[in-house]
Amino acid sequence: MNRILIGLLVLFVCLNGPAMERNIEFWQSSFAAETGAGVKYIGKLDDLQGIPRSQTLLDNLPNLGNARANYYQNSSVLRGALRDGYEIRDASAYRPNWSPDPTLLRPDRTVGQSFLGAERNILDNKGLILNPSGAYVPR
Amino acid sequence: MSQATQIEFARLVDSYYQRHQNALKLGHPNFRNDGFISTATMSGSGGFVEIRCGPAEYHAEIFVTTLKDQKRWSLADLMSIESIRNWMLQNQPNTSGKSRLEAEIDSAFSLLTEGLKGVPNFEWLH
Repeated sequence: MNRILIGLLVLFVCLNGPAMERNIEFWQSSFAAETGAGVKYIGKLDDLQGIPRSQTLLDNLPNLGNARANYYQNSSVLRGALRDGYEIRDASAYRPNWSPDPTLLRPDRTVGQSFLGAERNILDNKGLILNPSGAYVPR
Repeated sequence: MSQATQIEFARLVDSYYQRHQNALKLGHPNFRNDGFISTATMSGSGGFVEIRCGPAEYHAEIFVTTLKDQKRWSLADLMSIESIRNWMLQNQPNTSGKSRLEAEIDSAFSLLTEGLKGVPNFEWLH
């Protein structure tokens, strides 16, 4: 009887431990990535080519006519996706924030200074970190 | 992209294309709209040029594809060539009285006409 109780206790601890949480996150992440359900990709427009449009935020980002309004819209749409429980993945994960991302008017701009950099900052502030599979997961 | 932005993008690309038409060996721009993304493509003997505008930032972006090596050059790729990088850093357009989109399209055509001049990969443009 004692053995059964100890066995159940060990099982309970294992299921509720950090390792199991990581496993659940991993399997949820893998499932979401495979099915595309509940996933939204951020990234540079070129890196989003080939990803189903429904898995991007692009269709929620009409041109509001000026950079500031577009910036706030972009942040707001990402926060909305997080609130709605979407897993966020980074299609431009291979581009670090320090890599060049010039525009015709700002030839010295980096990725970190672009909207993508701002999105990464929001995710970081939410306690999310990019895992090797390209998904943002809790730290 | 809203219809107003699409129309403005096409108007500006057409307008600056006409201003640079004599200096560039490129055909008239063809426009494609894919939801919010608008792309103008101009073809030449050795490749083609795309000017694109789309979410989230709605910048005008330039890409030059060279057929010889099947390479699509982004602005970052172009700026990896020293002479182009120097040209970009020394020739910022006058933005006064222009929208950001117009200033960027102006800059894109100036880059094609002057900034890429003398660079072997892009001789077909001139």
